[in-house]
Amino acid sequence: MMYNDAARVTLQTASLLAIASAFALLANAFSPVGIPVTRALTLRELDARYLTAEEAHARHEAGQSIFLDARPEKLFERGHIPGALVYPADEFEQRFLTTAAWLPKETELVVYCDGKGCGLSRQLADKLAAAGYTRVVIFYEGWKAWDAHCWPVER
Amino acid sequence: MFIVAGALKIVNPIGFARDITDYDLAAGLIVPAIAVVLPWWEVAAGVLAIAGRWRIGALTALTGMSAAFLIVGAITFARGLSPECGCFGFMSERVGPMSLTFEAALLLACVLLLRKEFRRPEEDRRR
Repeated sequence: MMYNDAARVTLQTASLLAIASAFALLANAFSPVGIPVTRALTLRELDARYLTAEEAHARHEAGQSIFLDARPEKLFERGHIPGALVYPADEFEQRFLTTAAWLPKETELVVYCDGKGCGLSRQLADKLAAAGYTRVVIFYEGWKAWDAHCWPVER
Repeated sequence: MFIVAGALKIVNPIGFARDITDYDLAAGLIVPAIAVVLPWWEVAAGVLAIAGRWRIGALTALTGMSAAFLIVGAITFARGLSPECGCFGFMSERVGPMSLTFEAALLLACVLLLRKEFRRPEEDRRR
C-alpha cells in the first residue's frame, strides 16, 4: 500500500509537471509577451530602464544626469556616488515634497540602491515615473558595483 | 491562490524573470525557463487540486513549490537582500518577515491538505 501510494504520488506529480511544462513552452512560443527561453536575458530585455555599471559611470562622467540613492539614509552616509542625492524609496512622499519644486520633470534621473536584489531602485523609479518624471533609468548593479570598480565615492 | 499567482505571472513573464534575477540565486541561463514554466505549474496544480483530479499529485506539487518558495525567500532574506518577492506578479511585496510568514502559512496549509488527502480511503484517492 505504501509502495502504491509513493508510486501514484510520483507518477501524478511528474506527469502534472511535465504536461504543464510542455504547455508552458508551447504557450510561450505563441504568446505576444513570450520570452526567449534558450539564453540569458540581457539587462535591457529585463527592463528597458536598466543601465550597466559602465553606462551609469559614463552618465556620471558626462554630468548631465542626477543620481538618486534609494537606500536608507544611514547607508547613504556610509558611502555613495559623488553628487548623488539621498532619496530613500521608503520616504518618497516626504523627499518628493522637497525636490519637486526644483527638479525639472525632464531631467534624466539615475536611481540606484545596493545592487542586484535590492529592489529599492526599481520601487523609486516607478514612483518617480508615476509622479511625472519621464527620463528615469536604473543603475541596476548599484552601489556594490560602483564600489567594486573603485570609482570615486563620497563618504 | 496559486491559480491567481500563476496567472499574474503568465501574463507578464518578463516581470517574473526580473523578480527571479533579483533573487540572485539562479544562473541567468535558466531564469527565462523558470519564469515561463513555474507559473504554469502553479496554475495546473491549483486547478487539479480544486477539480479533485490527480489531487494527491497536485497537492504534492503545491507543497513542494511552497517549500521551495519559503527556502528561497529565507536564504535571500538571510543574505540581506530584499527584492520584490514575485509571489503575486505586480502585487508583490518585498521579501521580508511578512512575505516569509505568508509563505510559511501557505506551506502549512498545503501540508495539512496533503495529510488529509493521504488519510482518505484508498479508493477515493485513486482519482
